[in-house]
Amino acid sequence: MAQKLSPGWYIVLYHDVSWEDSIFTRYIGGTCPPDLFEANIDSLGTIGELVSIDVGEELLRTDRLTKPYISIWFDDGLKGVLNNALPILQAKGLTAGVSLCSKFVAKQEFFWRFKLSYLNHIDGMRFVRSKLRKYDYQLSKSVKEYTNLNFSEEMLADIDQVYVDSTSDSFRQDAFRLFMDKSDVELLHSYGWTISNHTASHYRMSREYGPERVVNDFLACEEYLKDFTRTNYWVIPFGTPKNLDEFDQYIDARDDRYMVFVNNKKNTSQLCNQDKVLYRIDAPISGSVSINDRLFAIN
Amino acid sequence: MLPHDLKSSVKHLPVVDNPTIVIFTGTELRHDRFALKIINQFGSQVVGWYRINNKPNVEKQSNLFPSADVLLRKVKRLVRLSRHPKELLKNIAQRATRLNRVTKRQTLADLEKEMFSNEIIRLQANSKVAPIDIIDPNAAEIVEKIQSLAPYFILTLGGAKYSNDLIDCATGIALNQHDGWCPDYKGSNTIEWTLFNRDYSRIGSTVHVLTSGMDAGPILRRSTACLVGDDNRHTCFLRSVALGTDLMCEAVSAIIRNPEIEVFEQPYYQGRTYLRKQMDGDIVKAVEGDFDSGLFRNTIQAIRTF
Repeated sequence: MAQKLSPGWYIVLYHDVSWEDSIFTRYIGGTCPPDLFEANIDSLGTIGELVSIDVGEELLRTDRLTKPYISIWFDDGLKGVLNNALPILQAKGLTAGVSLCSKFVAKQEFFWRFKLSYLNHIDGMRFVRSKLRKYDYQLSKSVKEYTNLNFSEEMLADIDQVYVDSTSDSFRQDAFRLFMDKSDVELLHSYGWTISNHTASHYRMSREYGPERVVNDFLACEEYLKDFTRTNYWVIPFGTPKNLDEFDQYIDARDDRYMVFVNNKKNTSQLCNQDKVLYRIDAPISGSVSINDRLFAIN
Repeated sequence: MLPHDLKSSVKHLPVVDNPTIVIFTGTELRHDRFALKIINQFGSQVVGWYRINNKPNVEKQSNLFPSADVLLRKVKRLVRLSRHPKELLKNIAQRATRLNRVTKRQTLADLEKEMFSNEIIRLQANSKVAPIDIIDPNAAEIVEKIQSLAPYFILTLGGAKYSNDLIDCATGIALNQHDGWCPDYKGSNTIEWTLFNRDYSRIGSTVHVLTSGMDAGPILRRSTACLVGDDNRHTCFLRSVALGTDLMCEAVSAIIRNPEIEVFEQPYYQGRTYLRKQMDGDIVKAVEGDFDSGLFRNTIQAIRTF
């Protein structure tokens, strides 16, 4: 008997859709080649009804998820989404959600994880590791994980120093081409895509970077995006924390917006409506796990 | 992406109002995709697309009629094996396994169709430029025609070696998309060579100024392809080609925005230029062995740990 998805709203999360996995992204991961993305969309269409974020949200809010509905969401505002995912989805009459970091769009700050990927490529990790010693980093640990778990602005400044030392100004400016700019965001908005808030700089909540600062980051991004739209979704960087409680009282600043996690769960009215939260499912992009199997596993 | 490891200089191209484009390609689906992407992005700026069909059917013939050297080698091998029955049986078993794998492998053409067909259908819907099929882009009448068009850009992917007379027809710049990481991998079958060397961090594409040297001109863009664990040598190549086309469109857009461009010189004595004749069955077998053994998949996954 063919497997079936249970009723609910499944939001599948991608980052970039591109033929390019540059030295800024390849050591971080998250890029899906366009042919695999299109195959995934076609495959998802066989197990559920593909809908826009707005339609999915309305069905969720009004408790009408009587069958499996599937939506697509892209984090970080990467340019490949515009260049490659948009034409594919347009051809199928679909829109999606995209969450943006305002400082990336405005070319004010480059994504710190991408700096690490670049430094890893050019053997810059030895300088990064040297700087991390003062944060009790030990060689046996993964720099990728350590910097995430122990994120601080001071650590960020150290990483940035190595990045600046190893790059030219033109190289750093060119790197911003990985991200959408303001006109790209306007275009997606005009096509009916859901624009959402992914904070100003994609910093991770940690012991040194608490909930108040993360919420301030959301507010800073909101300020930038207000020219396009008032966003209805705050998308938590790195999917961390995993629940609302860790935001303490600062979460009130979101007003009536949804807080959006990863958590690899499907959305149901019972699960989501009370706290106004949404969950998303990381799309497999290795090619070895099928997208349908990922959703069935969550079923 | 700009190359991070090469010296750069600034090239001042002419400033014009409406820079036009002429495209030269081969005849495969990836070449059509290249032209159609450019046409879709630059519309009426594309004033010609020439598709070069000059490949004789040499490969099929060589499979049917192996050379005397190859035949002699095979006979010597058979004679040696016949003196060692265990080795002979092992060899037969290995060949049977390989044959089973080979019959399951999709051809490059099959995979190309799988990967690009949908996109090409979408692109064709918006294309108003039909290709003109030619044999020799360096023929006098073709050069004369291109001279009369006086395009700002000549953009090439595959097809042929282009003469200086043709390259000089570009009033702005002639660019080539090379499916390989310059300067380390220039010439032919460069993705296979990158895979053979297990140099997975250099599976990528380069956009460079078209010169009479093979893939030797100053670089404008270079980056690495998005690979997945299930890839094989053909899909690695096709992903690299697709990337290169994106880089080409990006380079052209950048020049149109600002004709003062940064170019990155390829050192004369760095890297390697691979010739077509150097690629043989043993190299291909070794490359496919790495895919079959899981080395490629495991390396692609492990690459993300640091």
